Amino acid sequence: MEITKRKEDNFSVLSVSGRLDAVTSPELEKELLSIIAEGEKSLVLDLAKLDYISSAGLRAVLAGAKKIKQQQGTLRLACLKGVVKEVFEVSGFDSIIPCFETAESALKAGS
Amino acid sequence: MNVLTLKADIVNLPVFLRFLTQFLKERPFSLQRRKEIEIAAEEAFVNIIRYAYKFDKPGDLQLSFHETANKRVEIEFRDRGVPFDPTSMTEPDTELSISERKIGGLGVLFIRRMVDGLSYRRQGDQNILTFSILMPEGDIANTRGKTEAS
Repeated sequence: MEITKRKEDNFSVLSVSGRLDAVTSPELEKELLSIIAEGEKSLVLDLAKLDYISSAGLRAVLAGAKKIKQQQGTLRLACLKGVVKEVFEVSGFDSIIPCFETAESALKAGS
Repeated sequence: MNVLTLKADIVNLPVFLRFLTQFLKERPFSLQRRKEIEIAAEEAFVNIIRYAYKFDKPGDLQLSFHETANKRVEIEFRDRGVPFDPTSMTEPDTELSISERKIGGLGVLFIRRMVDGLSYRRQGDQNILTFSILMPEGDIANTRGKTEAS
């Protein structure tokens, strides 16, 4: 699993690639919570290059979404595909966290 | 029959999943189907660590993989932890809001959705969980695409 960060418009965009499983997910959770603790209120998680996610990965994403919501911020997801999309759909997480087709549309969407 | 015995510790998850992936790659499963099975297998593995061995006493976990005569693949998990029957767990409410949602139970939900059959039995001091997965028609060559990166 690899996380790359960039700033775009007023958002921090985190691209997550590789695998989010029970071994690697705590690293994402730590990264998300630390960015939010630094005051970031607008986050996009770009999952275009994510190959695999289990419930441990969802736990990390949910922890970030809950934390940012407490601070009146937003977390958006972009580019869900294949088995990653399926996991979000089966869990119902795609209806509690806003999902967008592309990172660009996530950035452009109104709040 | 392929058998792998590991300590039920999270550090062994990659070893188990690599072994599973290799077994599935030798059969005509698509990349998508392989990943679904891998997710179900990870959830079962993690649940055994968490509930059967309760994190602190990681005992042995014996994993067997085999193909049945009726075109199915079976993956069996055997541990000697406390009785834990994932088939009896209730599914989480997937309609709750973000603040109310919890992670508990999602693993079992994924297992149920991603395998074709699931059975549990307690035999002596062992928990035995079996996944049954329908094997797709066709040969391996037809499922080998350019998306083999993962």
